[in-house]
Amino acid sequence: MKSIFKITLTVASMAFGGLAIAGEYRGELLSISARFDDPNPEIQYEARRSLELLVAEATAPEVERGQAKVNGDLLYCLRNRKVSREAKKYLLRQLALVGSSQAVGPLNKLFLSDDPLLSENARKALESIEGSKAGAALRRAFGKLDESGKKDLLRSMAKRSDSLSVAFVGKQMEGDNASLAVEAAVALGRAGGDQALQLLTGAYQDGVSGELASAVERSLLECGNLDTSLLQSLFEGGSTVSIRRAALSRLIGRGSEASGPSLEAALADEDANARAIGIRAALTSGDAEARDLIVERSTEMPDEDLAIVLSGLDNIDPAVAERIAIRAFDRGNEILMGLALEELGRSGSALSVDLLLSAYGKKEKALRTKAASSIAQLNSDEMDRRLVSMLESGDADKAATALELLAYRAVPGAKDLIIGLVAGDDPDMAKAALRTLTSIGSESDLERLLALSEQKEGEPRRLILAVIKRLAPIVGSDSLQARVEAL
Amino acid sequence: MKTLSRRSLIKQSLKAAAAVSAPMVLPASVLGLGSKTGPNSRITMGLVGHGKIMNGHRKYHLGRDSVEVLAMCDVDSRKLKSALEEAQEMTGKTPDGYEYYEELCARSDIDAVVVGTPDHWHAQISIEAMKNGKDVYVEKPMTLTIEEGKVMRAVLNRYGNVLQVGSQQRSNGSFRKAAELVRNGYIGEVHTIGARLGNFPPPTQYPEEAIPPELNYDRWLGPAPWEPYNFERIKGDYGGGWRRFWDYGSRKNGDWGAHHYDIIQWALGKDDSGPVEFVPKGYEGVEHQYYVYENGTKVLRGWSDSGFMIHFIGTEGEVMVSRGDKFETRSRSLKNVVLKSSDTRLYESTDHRADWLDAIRTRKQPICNVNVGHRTATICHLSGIAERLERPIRWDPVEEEIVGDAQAARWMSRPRRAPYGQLG
Repeated sequence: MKSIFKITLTVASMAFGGLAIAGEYRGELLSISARFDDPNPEIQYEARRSLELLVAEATAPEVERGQAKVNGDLLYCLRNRKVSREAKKYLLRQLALVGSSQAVGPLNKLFLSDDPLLSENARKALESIEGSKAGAALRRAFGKLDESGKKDLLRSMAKRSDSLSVAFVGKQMEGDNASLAVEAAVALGRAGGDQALQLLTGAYQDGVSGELASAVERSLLECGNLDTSLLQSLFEGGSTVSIRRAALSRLIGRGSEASGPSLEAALADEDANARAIGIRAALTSGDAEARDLIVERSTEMPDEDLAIVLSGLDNIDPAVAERIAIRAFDRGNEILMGLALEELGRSGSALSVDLLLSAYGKKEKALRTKAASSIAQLNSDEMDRRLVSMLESGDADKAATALELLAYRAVPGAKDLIIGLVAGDDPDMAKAALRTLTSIGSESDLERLLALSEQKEGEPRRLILAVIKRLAPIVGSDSLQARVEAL
Repeated sequence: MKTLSRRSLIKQSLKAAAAVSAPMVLPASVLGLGSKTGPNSRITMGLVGHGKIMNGHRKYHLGRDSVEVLAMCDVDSRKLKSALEEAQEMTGKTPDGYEYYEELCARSDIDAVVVGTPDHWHAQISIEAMKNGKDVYVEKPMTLTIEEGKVMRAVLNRYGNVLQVGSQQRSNGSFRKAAELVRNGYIGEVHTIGARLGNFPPPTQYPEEAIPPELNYDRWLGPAPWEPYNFERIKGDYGGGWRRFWDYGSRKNGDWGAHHYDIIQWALGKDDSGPVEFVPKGYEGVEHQYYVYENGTKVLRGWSDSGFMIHFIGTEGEVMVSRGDKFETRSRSLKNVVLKSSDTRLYESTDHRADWLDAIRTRKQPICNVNVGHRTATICHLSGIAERLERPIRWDPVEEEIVGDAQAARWMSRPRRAPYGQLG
């Protein structure tokens, strides 16, 4: 057996690298392998890193036939009796990253060996090697393994997911061993693709039961192109809540003819969860009809469902979203009002200006905060005009509100007005204007305030200088700061 | 259809809000978090993995009236016992304890699961939870490999779960402000970004020790390769422990990269994309590991002249931000910029966990959703692969494939140890 291994290696070296290059890494690999046996953990780690680097360098894109060369030399070390089990474990882990079909024979031998550590690592190396040779070796090994080993092997085949592996896994799903059948069904879901879908659909239609039914249903949902009637069946009769939810979500999301009836069924469901899934799936789907249905129904929805709608209006026409939000706000439920305000910040227009300003005047802090945030975001010049008008109204309350809001919203020309108020005769208004400038003042504003301070005396001057001194270290240049310090 | 209790919360909390005029304290808590809700309206929860990172989650959820922790799971019975005792002290009730997460995930009365295990378990447990209809909060980085991220994304899309990744810097005002300034061009074209991740000690091969009887070590290792037990290998330690080993994470690229790279992705508007090249430190004399986006924007690990965690440099200014609400700009006037109504506003969350709870109720994906988590983790993993191979990696962010290096491409997944071989 040993000589066969040797011949295999030699042939592989000739085929892939040629005799001249065989063994290029052998010496270094053996030297590294020996270090795994050193009692010093630092040296053991250094050996791991050196091995990793050697293989990485050998398989860099610019190295000609590097993979073949390093495969041959890794295999050489694996069969070397002087190389410890611990070292072989790490050599096998490298083969899981760079192994090629030339490694299949030796790896298969180790896979079927009595050493569980080496067997496990050999299997992982085999599962990642492309090509029919590795797949065939794994399939041949199946009958020689105990049940636990068979389950591991099914997982490896799922990872490979080539046609022959998938067919093999499918056979195990149909077998008498219930535990293996469940594992096979799960593996098919992981493998995915049309072939796995076909096998799973067959099992589902045959009416499998118990744990296998649940595994088959789950795995069906893992696969891509499920038939609409199958999804419908999973929605209506899936064995768990999560399966039914997933089926419903996909039914509605695909925008097929089935989505309408499914959405209707979901919206009429007495279970709020089903309604939520329906609403959410419809709003995020590419199906305009489904979205329209939600919009249409939103006026009659209970508050809890409308909350789901308000949180998912991103794909809806802004004018429609704005109307829904305004109506929701009018219901007077504080939670809906908060969600509506958030939505108006995103989709609102001039129509929302009054509502937002009125919400900012409410006593509930959460609503005020949301209103301020949405006033800042509202994409409408009407809000700018309204704030300026409030500032110029001569009404102290309105002007004070406008000054507060100008700390959130950048309004063209507003700073001139604010500084005008600082320069004015109303001390309360000047104070409020200075407070706003504390949040939004820039270096140029400070320059203007400095000039203004020279025209003022007493308390007004003191207040202006206090704001300048507070703001200069935050937004002022070094030269301005020096001038302020000198005041 | 079987009723899930989570959705009844909306009904309850909406009624409660309509009937009671209790002010809502947290702006992010749009659906009544912080206000009293009846026991039937609570989100029921299971917490998996009770190491360091779970301490905060556990206290947070145990301390909320709107959440009921029904189950806890850990492979170390000492940690599990301590967590269960804490629950008893805080709530007067003891959740059920489990060694196997599968049993916790199979419970039909649990709405949501928090995954706070080491990284190599994140995907497996999250997928099991999602397939059982649970919503998930999974710690960062979301995955151990790029393949895991693809599978998680696919599972979520099939089952419609709500998933939040624990890259919680997105829920901090300073990081959001920095990202909004960058996103809206206030520092011009961004060409260089520094991200400080720090360094772990190198992984090492510790001598074998006796496995404590309270620990199911095989289960702790799970799909990772078998290695001899040593306490240092499994220790939860922000300065090392399991975090220093490649088998269980992506070292600093995964640990802090999952925070800072995440903010950079957000700021650049790349949540559906990613960089195109990753170059390791030391390659042809490169001083700092870096990655590059298609437009040339370069992200250097460990570089910054400011000492900030993240430092964005553009053609017209700079933005620097760190934890602790440390935020600075050059020029300084940028600090007080008020965004225009036409500017892009980023998703606003002020409490990462509350954002997830809100999303569970509204069924909207939270701030750090599965795609965000996957794309950020991909950067962490590709940086790690380049570091381990000591050569540059080219990446196609559309096809999500490593380009022109077949061997490196095989690092996108890792062999999984039996019997944990199948993902999900």
